Amino acid sequence: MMDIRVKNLKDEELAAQAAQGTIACFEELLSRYRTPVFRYCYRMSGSKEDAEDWTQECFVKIYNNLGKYNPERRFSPWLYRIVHNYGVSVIRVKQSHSYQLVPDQDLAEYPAGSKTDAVDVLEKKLRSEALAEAVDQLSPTLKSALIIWALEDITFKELGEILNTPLPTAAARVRRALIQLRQQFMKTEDKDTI
Amino acid sequence: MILCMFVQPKLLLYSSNETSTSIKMLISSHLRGCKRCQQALEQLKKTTSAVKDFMSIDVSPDIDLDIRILESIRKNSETT
Ligand SMILES: [Zn+2]
Repeated sequence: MMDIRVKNLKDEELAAQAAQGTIACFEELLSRYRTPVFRYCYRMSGSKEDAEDWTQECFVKIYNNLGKYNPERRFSPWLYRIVHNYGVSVIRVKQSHSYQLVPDQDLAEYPAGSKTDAVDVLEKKLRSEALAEAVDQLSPTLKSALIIWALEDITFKELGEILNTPLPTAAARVRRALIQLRQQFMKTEDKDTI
Repeated sequence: MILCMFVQPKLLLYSSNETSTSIKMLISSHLRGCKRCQQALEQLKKTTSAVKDFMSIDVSPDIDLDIRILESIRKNSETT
């Protein structure tokens, strides 16, 4: 009976009640968001084991911060902001010794009719490790923004809410990530053909 | 050419229909006459769908993850 009632509540109502200590409401939020958060963590960390640990950490943070959540605002961007901040911070720590910064300046436009059609390259590598590697080369912030945007199929307005940036900045980050991925692929292809 | 430099950074917002109406009209009319920007838009769409395909590969957590999470929340609130 309780279950049915909880299942009919909106995220925002669940979060408000969970903040008051109703654990069944938190459990319902967990069941709604467990898999999306896990998928984000999986794409960020690259391993299932890490993803499970990260997911756990994220939900502990979400739970501990419920008191600060304002139920008049949408729950999902609030949750993803916590997840995004966590993901970026863990990657930064992980990479702090080995990470090589890819310069932000290097933003060649999508070249028309380049010698190897980079789109074909991308399609060829689609199911391969190469895309995962290219995603890993992105800075933590770009990587996280790209993953959330691609996984959740959200608008840039919503992404801006999550990243706590204006809409144009959110779109610019995704665009920069996409351009960098394409450039990475063109490099990979050059190496293969030489 | 100058218009291309204005249009290309906005193609992502244009393709997700998140530009203002006036910008949208400007881009649409530019695209009709500019092969370069048409190709840029085409490539952008292909890259986007490739990335979205890649991201969406089905992975799910173990069933006991919920239990682990609730357990660690319980432990956390006991110690504080
Ligand atoms: Zn043009």
